[in-house]
Amino acid sequence: MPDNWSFVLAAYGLAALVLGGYWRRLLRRERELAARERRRGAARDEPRPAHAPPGPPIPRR
Amino acid sequence: MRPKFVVGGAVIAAALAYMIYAGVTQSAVYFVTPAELRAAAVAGKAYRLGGMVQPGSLRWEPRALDLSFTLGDGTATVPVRHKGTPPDLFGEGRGAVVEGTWSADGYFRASLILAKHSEEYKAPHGPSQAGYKELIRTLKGDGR
Amino acid sequence: MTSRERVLGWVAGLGLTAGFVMAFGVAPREATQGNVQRIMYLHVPAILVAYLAFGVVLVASVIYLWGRAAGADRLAHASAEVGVVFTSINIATGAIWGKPTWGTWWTWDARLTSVSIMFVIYLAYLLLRAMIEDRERAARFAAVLGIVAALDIPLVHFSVYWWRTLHQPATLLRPGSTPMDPPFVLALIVNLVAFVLLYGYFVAKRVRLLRQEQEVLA
Repeated sequence: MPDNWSFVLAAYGLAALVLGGYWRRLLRRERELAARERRRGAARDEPRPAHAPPGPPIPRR
Repeated sequence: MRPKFVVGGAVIAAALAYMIYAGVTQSAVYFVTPAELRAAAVAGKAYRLGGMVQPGSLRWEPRALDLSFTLGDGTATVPVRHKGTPPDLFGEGRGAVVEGTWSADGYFRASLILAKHSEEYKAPHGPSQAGYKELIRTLKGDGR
Repeated sequence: MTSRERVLGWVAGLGLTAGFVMAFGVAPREATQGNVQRIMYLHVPAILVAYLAFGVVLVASVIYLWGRAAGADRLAHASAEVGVVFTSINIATGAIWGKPTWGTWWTWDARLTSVSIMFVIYLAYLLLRAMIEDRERAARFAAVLGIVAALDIPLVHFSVYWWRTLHQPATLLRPGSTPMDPPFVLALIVNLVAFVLLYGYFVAKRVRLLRQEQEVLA
């Protein structure tokens, strides 16, 4: 009975690729949301520095 | 609506329609048994035939790739001929499904042999060999 | 990332490692199929977790339609997405397993047909969610589809009993005792537990991300 190890490797490799791909997608989305959250927080909490030159207002959400 | 949703929806609808079509035309009666084929065999018509490979019926000519065997279901048998290599699990006393046509000469000309395996999983007799050792041996190139 | 999520992630990772060791180091080589049978430790847990995932979609959809709880809707959404991932693994590993053993990558028997219909229906579910702008409308439509789609789960599982198929009958979830030697069962159960943990990790993370997305957009 041939063992077909190449098929076993293909199956496990493909499964790792699919699960790893989905995991990375979740992590990327997590980072994007965290970055957006930080920007929002920065815009809201930090007042404009006193020495800042006059310019357009910092957009608020 | 964005075009990607239109395209996605169309692809999904087409896939679903095809699968339901395949289900009705093929899955509903996936194969006929030897008794059913014997009862109403039409020469030249394509069938999918399923049964047990009768013990002692298997002839295999590796050089010419000529394979012949008999499929049975307990009540009737059908001789099958095929050119090519059978799948790993094909063998006497096991289930098989073959695709092909009924020949006017009184045999089934198979274009595809499929092995049907049972849901039984048995450890080999004798000392069991853990898989990873074998895997490493195969990867090193001195296996098989 | 919450600490509960992190713990779940690590436990799932440990489970997958244990499952891998069981599949290749502990479970013996199968007598008739040889080592290619080890694909089973991916193939079977993947579909069982997909059943679980789509079962959760069903329950969460009913709860959503009952009380319009946004949390139930997020759970249904996340579970459907993860269920689709596991179904794709089941189908891909099945094709890879089928080629050397059956002699084909694919055939339209009732099991393979019904599982591919299930896959496409839940893809349609995710597409429906993505294309409706109004969140409550999307949730309502999706909940109805999430309930109707669950009809395909028993169809997939019992297809091998209701119709003639190339696929063999069930090994684990079946009437009577399993026709599988104990070491195979043990390896299968360890891998199943690992996949369930991974499912829990993915869903917990996805639900939290969906909540944050909705907060950002609000």
